[in-house]
Amino acid sequence: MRLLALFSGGKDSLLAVQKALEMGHKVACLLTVKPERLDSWMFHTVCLSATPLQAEAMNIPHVVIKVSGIKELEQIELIYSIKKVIMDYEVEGIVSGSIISNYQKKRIDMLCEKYSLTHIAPNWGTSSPELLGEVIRRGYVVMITSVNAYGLGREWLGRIIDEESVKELIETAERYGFNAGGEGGEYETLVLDSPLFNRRLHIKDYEVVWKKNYGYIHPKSILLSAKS
Amino acid sequence: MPRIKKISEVLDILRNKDRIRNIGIIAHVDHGKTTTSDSLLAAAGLLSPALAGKALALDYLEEEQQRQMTIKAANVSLYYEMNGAPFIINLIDTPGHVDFSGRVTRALRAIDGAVVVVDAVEGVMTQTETVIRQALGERVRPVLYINKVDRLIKELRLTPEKIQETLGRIVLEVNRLIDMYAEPEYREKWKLSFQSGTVALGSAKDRWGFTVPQAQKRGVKFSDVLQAFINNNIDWLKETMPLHEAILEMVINHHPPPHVAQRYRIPKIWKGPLESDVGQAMIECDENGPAVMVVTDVKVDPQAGVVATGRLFSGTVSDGDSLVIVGRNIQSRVQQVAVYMGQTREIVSTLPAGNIPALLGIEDARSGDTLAVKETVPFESLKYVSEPVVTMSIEPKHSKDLPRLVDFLQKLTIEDPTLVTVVRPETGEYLISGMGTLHLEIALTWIQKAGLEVVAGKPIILYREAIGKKGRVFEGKSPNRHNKIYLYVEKLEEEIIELIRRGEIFDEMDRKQLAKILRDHGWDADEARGVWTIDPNGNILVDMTKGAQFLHESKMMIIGGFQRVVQEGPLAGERMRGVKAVLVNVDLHEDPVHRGYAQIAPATWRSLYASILSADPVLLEPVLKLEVKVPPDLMGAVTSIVSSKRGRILDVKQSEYITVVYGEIPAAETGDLSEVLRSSTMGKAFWGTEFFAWRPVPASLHEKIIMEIRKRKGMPLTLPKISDYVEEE
Repeated sequence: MRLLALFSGGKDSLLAVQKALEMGHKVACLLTVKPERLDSWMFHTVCLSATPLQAEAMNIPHVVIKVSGIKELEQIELIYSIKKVIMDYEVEGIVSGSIISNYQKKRIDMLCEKYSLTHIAPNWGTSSPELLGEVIRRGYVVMITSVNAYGLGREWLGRIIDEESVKELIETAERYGFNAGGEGGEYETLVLDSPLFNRRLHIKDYEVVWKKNYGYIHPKSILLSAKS
Repeated sequence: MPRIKKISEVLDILRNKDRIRNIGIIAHVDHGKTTTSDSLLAAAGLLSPALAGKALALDYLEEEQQRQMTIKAANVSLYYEMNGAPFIINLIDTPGHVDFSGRVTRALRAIDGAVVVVDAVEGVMTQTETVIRQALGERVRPVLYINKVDRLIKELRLTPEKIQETLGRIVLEVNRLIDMYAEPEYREKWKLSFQSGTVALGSAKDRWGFTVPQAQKRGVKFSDVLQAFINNNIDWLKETMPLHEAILEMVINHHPPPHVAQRYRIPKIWKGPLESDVGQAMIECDENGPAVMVVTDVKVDPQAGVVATGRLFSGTVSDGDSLVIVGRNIQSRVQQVAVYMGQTREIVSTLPAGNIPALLGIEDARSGDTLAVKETVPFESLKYVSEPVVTMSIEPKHSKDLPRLVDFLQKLTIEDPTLVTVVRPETGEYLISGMGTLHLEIALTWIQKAGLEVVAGKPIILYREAIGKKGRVFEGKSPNRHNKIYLYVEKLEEEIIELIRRGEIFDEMDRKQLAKILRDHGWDADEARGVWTIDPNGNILVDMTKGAQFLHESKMMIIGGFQRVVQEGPLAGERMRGVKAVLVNVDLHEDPVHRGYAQIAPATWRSLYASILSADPVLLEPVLKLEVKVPPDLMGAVTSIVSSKRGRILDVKQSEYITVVYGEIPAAETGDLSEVLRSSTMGKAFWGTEFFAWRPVPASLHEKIIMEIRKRKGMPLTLPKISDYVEEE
């Protein structure tokens, strides 16, 4: 099946892409939705500037759609803008990184129904520890780029997800009562390297923005360079 | 074996209600409550020498000394024979000082009669009035014992006429209090007089005393008493007119036995339905009815564990019975039923209504609990909140002592619920909190007496944070910005705070009942119905949203956010008092994964902190009531100390021989009060403090104290701003 991948550049969407490919599908296009507001209910908001580079590293065409980021309105905006992408790339289905957020899944299901597409969500139902473990096992290099939960302080910004940080993340999530996989928007990630990439991303320098309650990193420059 | 025999004999008496009295001794501090109790206990133990036989007399004397030491701590049963008939008088310990914890009322609930001790020289004092008022409020009949009569003769060298005048005035004053505080039907019935034998005179120190009918019977005149003093023949007084006979006969003749008393007292002291089987059984003092007991005292015995003592109002308790702690959903089995006979706890295995059993095995029982065979209406609401005002860290000098210290502290707090101990997990420190510096000093003495060496930190005053007016509504956003919570704060009415403090309303309470009480205190119906949680320190969270989606699933998280705010106010991280937080609106993400605790709780506290900052927040300090007794010529020294410590004189009562200064003083200023008072009065001042009120810290000290606390807690040394909590995106 020719698929369009909803692609934020984070661990979940990239994992979904890889799994879809393993299932024998073809990912015809990566679609990044870029909200103008920071508090979008549907989409990632930070480090989206890295997504074209990731697409380039995977040799898959990349499209960006801008939405307002206002709750519900952004959904309608997407429904209208996506039509052209579906036609251009002749896709039959959408692959998304949804894991347990019914809100996201329901909206993507609606979108698919409208355009008679199949929704493939390969991560659906995977537990957070399982998913985090898979990310490490598959050799992803994943950086935490924003934190948005009580219990996650600024020290988490810029951290690479490895075995130690996963352990800490799971403990913190249990203590403060949030989803360790970040499904509730607790944190967002950027994949710097993965088996799908022919080159890897380098963040040369970044600025930390901290807003008392939450924070994110703002990369000053991102480069693609050869894998070592 | 004489010992077994005596227990069985005592049991026979305990089954005969006419032969039982349940009494307490109440007095103003220093008027001789302890010496009076001691003389009763020493002379009227479990067995009179006659009953025990002469062979046991020696043992009896040895025991007597041990008894003297423990009378302060326990409820004891005294044995006494009057005109050949045996009686058991259960003496229940009432706290020596007036406090706010309800312990006095609790003890009064268990007794039917009170012996009011008044110092002949000092006369009726404030606490005499307080305890008489409280006793009458619980339908406890008072009789009077005028103590330290020897002082009138020896120290003040008053003429016989003047002595009689002084004593007569005391009786008059006590009767005036009965007029003022007794319910109409008891006013005349319970009046006191020398002639009726409801007033005794004497000296507890020298263990003599009499009532007028007793003296008449023995052919002793008041002039004979004076003569005995002139001849320095105290032994004659002691032999002719032992104090315990005077008091115990007064008690037996004038205090009601339990089944008579319960008939008119239960309707007053129990709020449950009187027509129910439990109500009827208690009114009748029916040993065949359902068992109901109110716990007045809990001790931790090194061997036996928790010992719960109290009044059994109905039914019979026996070893192996299963009892519930009413309202707390705890069921326990009675391991052993005992009675306190002086020093020793005697196992009786079963005890009928009207008595004061000591129960072993009810590990969770605490003072004030009602124990019963089934759930019923408790004698008092269960939530009892003490508001400690001073705290201190302690640690053992030798780390091997730590387990013992932990054990001992736990025991201390069970026995004195106004002491609170907590461990700080971060530092391993133990914090012990109490009602004043004096209270903590006493606790330290107990710890030392137990043979534990500890290092104590400096006492720290506990402040409260409050608000001065209604705050604005603020939007609190969750860290993921997908949830918005809107709250405002306003001042909770003082009378509602008082209801919470007294435990009349509490979090676990039935919401319908709660709503009714709040409506009775002027709340509108919607608000009264919307109470989500009651914080024991005097704060309430109310939900006033209308048809908000997903609210129910987020309720506990919003409560969690509220609890953090009332435990750590914005000014200095101190507890809050008197905050009514009102939830007006929420905007929640429809997907549960986006609105966990880590999202909703922060959104709640941000909104609340911002609203508090918009509501003129203030720091409150604990103010203590101070009472100092000094010889009249030293009054000036006391008043100047009080005013130099930001205190205020409330009243000065002068009698011929003593001056009492009443004042209020911030707890923060009492650190060296003992020392200063001692040195400036040459040790002649007697004084005490108790918690009085929370007062705003003076404006001139406000910021200074806040910064001191913030520094101690490692908080940033700047005052918080609204923009610290709500977003300015």
